[in-house]
Amino acid sequence: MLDLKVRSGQLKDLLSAKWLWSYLGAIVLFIAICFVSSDPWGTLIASASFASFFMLVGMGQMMVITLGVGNIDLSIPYSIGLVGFVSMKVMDGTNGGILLGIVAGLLVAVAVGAFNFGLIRFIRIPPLIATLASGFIVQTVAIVGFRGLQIKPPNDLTRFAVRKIGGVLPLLFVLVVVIAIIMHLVVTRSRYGRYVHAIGQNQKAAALAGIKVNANKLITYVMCSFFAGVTGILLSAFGGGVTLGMGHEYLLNSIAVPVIGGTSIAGGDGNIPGILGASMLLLLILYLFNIIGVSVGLRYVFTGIVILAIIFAGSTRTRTA
Amino acid sequence: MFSFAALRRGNALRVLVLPIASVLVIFIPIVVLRPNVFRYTGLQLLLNMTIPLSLATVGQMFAMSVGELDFSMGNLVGLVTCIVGTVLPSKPLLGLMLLVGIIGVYMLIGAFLNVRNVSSLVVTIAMSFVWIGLAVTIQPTPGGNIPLVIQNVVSVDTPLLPFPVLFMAVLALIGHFVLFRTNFGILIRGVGGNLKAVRLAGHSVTWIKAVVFGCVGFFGVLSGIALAGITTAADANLASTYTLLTIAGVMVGGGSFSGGKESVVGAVLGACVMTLVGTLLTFLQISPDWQIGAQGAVLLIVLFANGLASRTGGTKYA
Repeated sequence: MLDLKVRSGQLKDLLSAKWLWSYLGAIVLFIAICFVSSDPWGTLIASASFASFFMLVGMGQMMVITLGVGNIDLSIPYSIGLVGFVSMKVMDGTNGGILLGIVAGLLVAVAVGAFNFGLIRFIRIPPLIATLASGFIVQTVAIVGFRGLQIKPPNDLTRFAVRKIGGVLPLLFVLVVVIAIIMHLVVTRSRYGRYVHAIGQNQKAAALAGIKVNANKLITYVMCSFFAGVTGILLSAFGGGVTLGMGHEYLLNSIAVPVIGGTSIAGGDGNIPGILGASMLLLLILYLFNIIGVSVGLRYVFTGIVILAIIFAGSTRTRTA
Repeated sequence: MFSFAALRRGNALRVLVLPIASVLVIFIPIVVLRPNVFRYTGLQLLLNMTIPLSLATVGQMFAMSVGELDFSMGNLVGLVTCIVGTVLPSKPLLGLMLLVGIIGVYMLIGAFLNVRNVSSLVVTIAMSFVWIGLAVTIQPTPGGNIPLVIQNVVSVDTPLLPFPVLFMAVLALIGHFVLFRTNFGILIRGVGGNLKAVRLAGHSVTWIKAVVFGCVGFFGVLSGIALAGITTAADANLASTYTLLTIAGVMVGGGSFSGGKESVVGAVLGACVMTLVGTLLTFLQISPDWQIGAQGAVLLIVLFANGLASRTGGTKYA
């Protein structure tokens, strides 16, 4: 199908929108859900709730990946856990502590992001290893400092996290979509967005053109941790508390979401619209298989195969194979 | 003696001296704290877990030596323990076919990476979903029944030196020989070092990558078998930390992301460092809670030292 359209040339513009595939996949999955689910819209809304978290971490990771080959943040899952612990601890279950807890949590997130960049910049360690090592350290801080901590999130925060507009549409999802639209504008229209793309396409050229490479990298890594931190706070509120392994599934998914959504893993080509499609796609797979009654294991296998298929569809044959 | 090739390339510091120094820095305090460790049984117990980790690290090293990564290593090793503990005892033929099949899949991945020019990070992330899914399907809860033969092999009493020590020495020597003394090894290092040159010399990079990834899968499978034998458990999540630990091990052992600089000796030593850090903490009576953080810190320190030692190191992505 892909080849046909490319050859015809007419739909080239549409196809150059790489996010298309994730939306097509999500729509196909939703149609399948319509056949098997007694309440397809309910399923869609349930996936939208969880897709909010995928989108948040996906957007952060996307900005980092867009910085160019080798840039990636593996500390996301551990930041989620640590920030969740810190904010819940500061809030101490009281509505009055919410603001302070959010500020404290996000400060921790910003510190992790700055630490990541510091390792990359000053100790000159490749980002993958730097963020891996800092993730190890962040996880240890979370374990040593907060293990066994059982503090319920403040009522107001939980109510906010699970609120549905008109009893239907999850408020969280709407807010995250608004954030995504803002991020889309930042990526496509702002100076910062263009700088990040320029750095991702050719760091040397960007530097020679007078772009402050390191400052923009610092902002991006901090932003990624910031999004992970927001996810950590919201997940704690949503799930009624923090667990150490709360962020684990976001290690692989934070990378899968932008890649499925059409972001180039080689950097220099970010894509925010695809983040929404990819997040919905991944969640709808889970829900579809859940409804059919397929085991957890096969659900994972299928998720893997879908990701592979999308990579395959989006890749091109090398000339010198 | 066997490091001549590495020495000539001026890499001895990075692939031998620093990894060995790291091992000693961690090993000496252990011996000081618990002299009993420096006996046959002590060493055997101390180093047992380095057998599976060093095998997996050597696998990861193959991937990294051609400039790729295997982000599914941990889940692969977990899957293999499940196959060994559940399928192999009841249906030996099916079990073997599955294990060989895994290596086949890995070869396909290697070829796919080159033919479609996609990122190994993404492809192996997708594969890690497949591996964990299969593992959970085969063995939903930890358990299984590891064949006695495998249990006996990994705890065999070898003469003179304990089995883990001998094993790692042999693994390092054979690996080093393959990588530095055979044509195939030269091609692998060539793909990592100068892809274009290998291509222009008329070699099929697709084929080389397929074989290299076959090696990744092969060592991953061996690692899973060894881990199952030592822990006598089949568990999908048994090796979930292996993905990150193997990458860290290769880096501690002097490897790099751009490929072409890897050393098997370094990888085995790196795996040793990563395992021993945990033991040292135990002997210092520090809670195992700190283990992961300590592994991260060791990784940073070694890389920092590496960066100081070779000014060229680590600048590529900075």
